[in-house]
Amino acid sequence: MNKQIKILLAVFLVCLFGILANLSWIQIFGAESLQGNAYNKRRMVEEYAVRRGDILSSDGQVLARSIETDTQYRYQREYPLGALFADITGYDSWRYGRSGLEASYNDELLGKGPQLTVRTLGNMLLGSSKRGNTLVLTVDSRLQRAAAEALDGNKGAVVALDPKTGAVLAMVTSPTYDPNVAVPLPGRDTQTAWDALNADPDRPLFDRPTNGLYPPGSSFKVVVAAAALDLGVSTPRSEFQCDGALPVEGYTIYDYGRRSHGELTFSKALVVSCNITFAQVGLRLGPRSFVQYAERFGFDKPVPFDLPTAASTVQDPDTMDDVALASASFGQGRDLATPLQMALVAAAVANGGSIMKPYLVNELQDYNGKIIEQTSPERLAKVMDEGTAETLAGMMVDAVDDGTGQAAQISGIAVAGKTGTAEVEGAEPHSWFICFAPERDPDIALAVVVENGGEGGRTAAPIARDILETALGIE
Amino acid sequence: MMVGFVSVQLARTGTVDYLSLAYPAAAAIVFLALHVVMRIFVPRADGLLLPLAAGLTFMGLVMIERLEASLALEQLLWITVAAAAFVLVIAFLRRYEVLAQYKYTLGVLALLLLASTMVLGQEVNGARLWLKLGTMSFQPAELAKVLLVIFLAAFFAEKHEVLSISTHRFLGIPVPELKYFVPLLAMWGVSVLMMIFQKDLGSSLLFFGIFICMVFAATARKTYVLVGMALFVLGAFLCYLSFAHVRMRVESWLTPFNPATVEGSSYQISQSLFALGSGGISGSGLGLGYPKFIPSVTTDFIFSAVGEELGLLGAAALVFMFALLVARGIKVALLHRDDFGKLLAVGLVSIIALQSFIIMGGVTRLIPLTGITLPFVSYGGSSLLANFILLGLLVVLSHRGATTNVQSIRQGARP
Repeated sequence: MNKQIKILLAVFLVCLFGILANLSWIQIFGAESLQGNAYNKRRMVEEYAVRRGDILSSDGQVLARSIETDTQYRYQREYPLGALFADITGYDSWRYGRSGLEASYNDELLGKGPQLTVRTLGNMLLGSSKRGNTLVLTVDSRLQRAAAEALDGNKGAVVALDPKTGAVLAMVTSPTYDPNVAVPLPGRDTQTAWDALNADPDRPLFDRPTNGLYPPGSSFKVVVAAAALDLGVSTPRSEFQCDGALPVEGYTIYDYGRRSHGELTFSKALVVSCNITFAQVGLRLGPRSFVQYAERFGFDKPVPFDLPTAASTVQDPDTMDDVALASASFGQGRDLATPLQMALVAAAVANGGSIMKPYLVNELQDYNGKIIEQTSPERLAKVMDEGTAETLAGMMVDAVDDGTGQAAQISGIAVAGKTGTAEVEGAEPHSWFICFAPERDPDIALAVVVENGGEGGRTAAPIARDILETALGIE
Repeated sequence: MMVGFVSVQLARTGTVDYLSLAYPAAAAIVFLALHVVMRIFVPRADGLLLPLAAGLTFMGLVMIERLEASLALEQLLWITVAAAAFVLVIAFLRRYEVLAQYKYTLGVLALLLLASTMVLGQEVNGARLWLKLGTMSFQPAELAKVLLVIFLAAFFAEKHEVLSISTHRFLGIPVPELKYFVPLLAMWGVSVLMMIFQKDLGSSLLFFGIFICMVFAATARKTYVLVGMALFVLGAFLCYLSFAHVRMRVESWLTPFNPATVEGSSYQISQSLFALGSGGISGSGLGLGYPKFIPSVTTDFIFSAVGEELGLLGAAALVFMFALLVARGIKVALLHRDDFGKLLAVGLVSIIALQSFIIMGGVTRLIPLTGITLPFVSYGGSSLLANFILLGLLVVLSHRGATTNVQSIRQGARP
């Protein structure tokens, strides 16, 4: 009988050591994937036990802060300014996840980033409740509010940049939403409101400035003009003939409203936004130079930014025939651009031909206000010569002074701008205006788009003027 | 244990309340008293059995206090009651042979206890294991398993020679006469009935496992083991086909993170795995993890809580304690001289080994999860009571084994 008993002992021990082996496997090698599992509440509870850092505007307004609750998710978000900064801060919600800066700067806000200071380390060791870092943005709440008010509920977007640094001064989408709706607090069930936001056909949760892709219309002429001037394909004084229609490969291209501009210079063509002239310039440039310059401005890849961006696109030069090239040259081809991209186009002209990398977060501070990290401006691309930029700026000032952009005039200040009226099938055209001011030593570059807003000079340009006035301190 | 209590309190409030240290102190006094009683009644008993059980019990008490402070007092009371039962066993059952005379009575009692829940039982968490006596609930299966082991030990001690004789050959393998398969079939029937009527997969697996172990020890017949296992597989397969809750268990074993079930039927096992994963090697520290996300964490899933807060090191310590307890128990069986004692020891050890394996393997997803308590550690009166009676019997057997061996040496025989 003892023999069998010894066999049993062996079997029992094998079973128990099997558990030990399995346990080691789970707790050593499986730990990481288990901790990262989406159904593991632990990580969430731990993250919400951290007092997340605030998000502040450049003028010190609190855009997002953490409040203590007695739920299992201890600290939850509050957005004191409601919908005004929704497209920038996004939301942080245990139920619906994260978006905006709350998502892209999650580690920093939780204090998990590589910027672990001696003090936070000390706090961790002492076991006091962890606190995250504060984000100080480049956006000024007054300009943001002015931009939102100027847009006045129209569907569309505004992006304002400091052309010299790339700092975003305002970024508005409309319609938008109140991010507080994403945070269900005890006694505040927001599910219905949240469902309504998601079901809304106007897509209030969609960030138009960074992800809305629109045909740029005539505002794209700035890109074509930059290429033509920079390559010497034409000068401001080059003569063109506009008969209101241009036959290209058996297809006729018409000017907006089938208007005929007669004999005119290249400079004048930008001022009156003559499609026929730009079609001819585009054809002289050829598809390769056309795409090369568009890509220098940032087309065909997502703009590197603090938030996810959609790539603005131009057509592949190999598939571009003359008809496509001619219509793309006045922004009615297959090219699509985000408002952020078009703001960068304006900023490039404003900044002597260099595009600065756009950014939203200026400073990272620990909870005592000590600066951990400060963003230093970074050049993204050199698009054109300084001389080209200066010439083009002058042409854009003329467009505001004497041309399609007159609604953006501000007395005493030289505003450089270009309108865009992007025709869309079966609806009113999208209304564009890109601009910067003042012409010498500019403080702000701006892109405004109003979906189905009609002519750029009529809808978008006055909105731009209101924003410029606030930015430049003019009442 | 004191350290455990203090660290739980520090984690909870940052201060130490000296009054609550009464729990560990009381538990320590109980075990000290048991030690003294053992020295008096069974001085030659194995000296490691009680400390190992104490270690497991203390670990359980600390975890229960941490998980559900209000249950700690209850658990402490049950430890005291169970300790009293232990004392009664070693005081009055030192002549354990008397149990063999009542084998059929005990066997019938075991069956009645099991049957009682099928008829009168209360359904808790989908399994019908509980018997309500006034305000107290009681899990008869816990006590029944000890009674059944006594019955089987006595039965096999008497019959093992007959059962070992092979008169037939089947496919060249010596096979005992068909009628000797009757006990096997009967036991299988009981297990399957339990599976069907009580939906208690864990106990069913445990009972049948104990039986197979004892048959093997008694007869050395692989035929019984093979036929038994084949029957169990068949039974399990039939249950898998016919019962949705069995299928659910197997599915959550195979795919615990299936999005369709992770918030439902595989919630327990996935939460248990998350707990173990977040514990890592050294654990989160007592009171600093989130083991309460796991349902029934004080009973079936207490091992996962240990794994989360004390890490691989703490959980491995528990496994080692069980391994040592099993090894010492087997030693008792090996040194014992009469068949009844040997088989009784084997059966009792099988309970501990299989039960701890089934639940620890279940919560770590080594085998499909079946609800059952972790001996000595889990919260629960019936479980503690049964396990301390079991421990008492093992202690008596070890004392008697050592005593008879000493007498044999005195009489000039080789041990």
